[in-house]
Amino acid sequence: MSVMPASLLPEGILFAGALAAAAFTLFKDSRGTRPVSIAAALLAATALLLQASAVASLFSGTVAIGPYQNAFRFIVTFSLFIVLLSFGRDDEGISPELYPLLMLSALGASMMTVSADLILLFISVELTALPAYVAAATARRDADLSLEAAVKYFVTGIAASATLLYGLALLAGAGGTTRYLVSGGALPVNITHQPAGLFALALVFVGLALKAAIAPFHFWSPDTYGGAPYPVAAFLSGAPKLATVAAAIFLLTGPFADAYYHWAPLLWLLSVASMFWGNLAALAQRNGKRMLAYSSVAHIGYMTAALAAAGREAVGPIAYYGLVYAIMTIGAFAALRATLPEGKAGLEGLKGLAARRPWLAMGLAGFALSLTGIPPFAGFLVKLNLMLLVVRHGQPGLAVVMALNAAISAAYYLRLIRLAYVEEGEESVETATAPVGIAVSFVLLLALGVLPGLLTALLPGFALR
Amino acid sequence: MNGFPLLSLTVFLPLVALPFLAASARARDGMAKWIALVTASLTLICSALAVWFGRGAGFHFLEESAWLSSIGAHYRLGLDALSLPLFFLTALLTLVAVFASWREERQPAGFFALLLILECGLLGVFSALDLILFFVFWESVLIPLYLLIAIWGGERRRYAALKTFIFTASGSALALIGFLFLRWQAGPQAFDMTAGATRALPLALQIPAFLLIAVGMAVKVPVFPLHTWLPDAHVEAPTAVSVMLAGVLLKMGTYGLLRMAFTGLPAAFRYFQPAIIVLAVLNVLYGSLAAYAQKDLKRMVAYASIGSMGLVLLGASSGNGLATGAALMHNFNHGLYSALLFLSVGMIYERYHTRMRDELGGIAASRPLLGGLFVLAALFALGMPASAVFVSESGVIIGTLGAHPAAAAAAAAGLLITAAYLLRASRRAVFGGASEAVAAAGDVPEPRWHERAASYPLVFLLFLLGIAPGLAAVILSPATASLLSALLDKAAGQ
Repeated sequence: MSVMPASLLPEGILFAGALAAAAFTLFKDSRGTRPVSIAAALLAATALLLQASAVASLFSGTVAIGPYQNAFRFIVTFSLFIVLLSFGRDDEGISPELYPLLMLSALGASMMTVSADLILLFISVELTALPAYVAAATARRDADLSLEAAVKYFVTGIAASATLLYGLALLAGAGGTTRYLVSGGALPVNITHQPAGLFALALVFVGLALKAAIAPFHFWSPDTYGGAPYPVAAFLSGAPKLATVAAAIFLLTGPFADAYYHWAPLLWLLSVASMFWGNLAALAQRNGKRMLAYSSVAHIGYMTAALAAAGREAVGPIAYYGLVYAIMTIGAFAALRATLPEGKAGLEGLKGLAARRPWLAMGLAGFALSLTGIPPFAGFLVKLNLMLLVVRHGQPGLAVVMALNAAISAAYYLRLIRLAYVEEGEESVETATAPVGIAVSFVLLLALGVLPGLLTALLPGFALR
Repeated sequence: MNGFPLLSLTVFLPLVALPFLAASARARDGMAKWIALVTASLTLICSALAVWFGRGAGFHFLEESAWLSSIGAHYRLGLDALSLPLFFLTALLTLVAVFASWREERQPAGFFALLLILECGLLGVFSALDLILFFVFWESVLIPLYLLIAIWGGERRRYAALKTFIFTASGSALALIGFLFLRWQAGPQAFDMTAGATRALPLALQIPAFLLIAVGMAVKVPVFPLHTWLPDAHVEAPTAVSVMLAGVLLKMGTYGLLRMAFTGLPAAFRYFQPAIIVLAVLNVLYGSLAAYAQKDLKRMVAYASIGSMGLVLLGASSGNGLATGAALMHNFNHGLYSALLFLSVGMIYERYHTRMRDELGGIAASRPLLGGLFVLAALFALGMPASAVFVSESGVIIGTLGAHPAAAAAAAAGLLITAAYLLRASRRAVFGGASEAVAAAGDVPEPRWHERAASYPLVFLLFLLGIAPGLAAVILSPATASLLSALLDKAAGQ
């Protein structure tokens, strides 16, 4: 076995890119960090596309790679790429150190999705979290708020890690091994006969719920998103969160598969709570970042609801939803950033946007419509896909809850459009240049909404069912 | 016409104008209306071709390609007798709307772009033959409509636009659940609107699906008591949008009911027939009485639409061949005469700055064409003989009389009230001595060339179909047959 197996090339590229970006920060003129980071993220995503159907088991089973892993790795690398592309180079709020930090965190998130070993899983979780804690504190304006965001994130993150670690340790003890995914399947832990197994399930469940910010474990995320700089908030709502969802999926449908009737009702309950809590709380927000934080809570709820209803069959549709969710959420953060300066994320600033900057307003409207789930944007199809899956598994009531929540969410997403198009605003509002990432995200959402087969053809792990 | 994607071409033709409109927004605002005019005219020509080649029973111009094959949804377009008239009506009224907003000065490029996006969505709704594709088009109508009302509307435009959006979005969410339910129960064929896989479902499964879909569609019709968004939307909307709203958007609701609830779930339709007839009569009476009480002419016309849609529902669910055919024709006619009414009210408002019936008066004396158009539109709306509306209204009443005499009598009473308020409005607003507002307005122009271009085709068609109703019967009779077979259980009896 070579030192660096080809299947892990994307992670290798991310690591090299992070080192190179870090090296650039040493120079007085650190302008090189951004292009290096963007190139590395794009290369990593491309490398993944080229080996999309690869199946491998590496390092004596420590790493397992399959179509679903590849789908989630693609989400991680691609959402990193979109984040880097969506926030401007001349953005005074971004310190150059941010780039290597985000890349290291994405590397951890990517490793999280391919771990087949509990120890590697935990190390990856920590690699994802540690740079992100620092990144949340890097805002130059409103440094106090940013620091508060970072501390809250750090404290809950540590608590979540500790809970998760205890759960993983018990799982290892109950199963007699740390390898939880073996080639050709998962190692089931017969927890119905072992109280330790049940306890392990509870701890792992809570730890991951905290990391993924599922209600009622989401309390830290509005404060963290609200205080962290825009790119960090956008990144946090994408790669780390979806990697956590992936880890939860692989654990729950892997070693805990036999305990479906233990975790599914609980997950069902938390999903419904997430949808309602996220959407209703988002209605009341007047700050763009906090609103999107609650919106993320609701969207994770849609995904986990499908997992609770359909189990293993939901993985492909959830991955598809995750990718689209990441693109539209990051796009929304970027469109807000280009309108509302850091530290003034009050939505009032959107007034009159359409008259001032029609293209940017169109981008924002597209993201809002996609987040609501209105065609022809991809957000509609992926939501429809999840609802169809849930109905097919005999839970039309859950589909009604999802539709109802989509209707509730329309009220606050539509408010973005109303502010931008209908309300009149004062003339001179400080605005940053609109980065190219917004246009890329908009076009992608439209393309995936009209021709969803494009993605499933490239990456079989994404599925429409 | 085999193999040529006429429908795809027609549906997406309006979108071709968008880049040109975007360019005109930067260069010259005056270009926008011409771009819209050319596009809407080409689309109308295409849809007229569809009418010419698409007569007769069955689906025409079928197009099908794989789209979301994994969930069973296809890109499938086609027209039959039920959708063909509405497809043509959409293209016609879009052109009328372009003429009606010829003098739009506020961001005309944006206005016409949204109008054309709206047309694309509407054409898609009427030609889609896959439930998911239908839903995609249905939802894509919502956003342009919201923006058109919220940006170019009247004083309370934001409230009206949001109310419209929330009502229709909630309705369509229900309908979507109904579609998913059908997919779950009837298998992968359920999304195919040509296959009829849902017709064989047992009654117990048809009822929940019917309720979900019918309520979703009823919001759009609108069926009393889900109608409250309509008067607000109409009053605040600019004239062109009112034309589209009354003329075509309400037809999305009746079309959806006829296509999916009535012919798609016939057993449930039979089960709910008495309830639908009661609701239809309530709609006629409520719409007429509410219209009678209005002093604002535009609000009056809005409530009149609720009554007319009730008449369509009554005829379509009566189980009588004459009434059913007449209801389908009335559905089309209403698109023409309500557009004409809104146009003339819009012209009056633009000139005299009031729509209050009692503040107007004496228009005919000084501006005979302007006043005459309103009176003519009112005469059409109350079913003047020799007009198409006379044929359709009397057809519905006579046809219903045999099986449901009480319903027919109540609906006829509603028509009497309609005649009363329309004649009263004409007498007070148009005839008599010049009122203060009319006198103060001074030298206002008669309808301009583009206003005449918007209204004359409607007048022509209403007379043409009134004198030669056989033209409508040729096109509509296959649709009548399919509706009747759903209700009379001919298919099941064979």
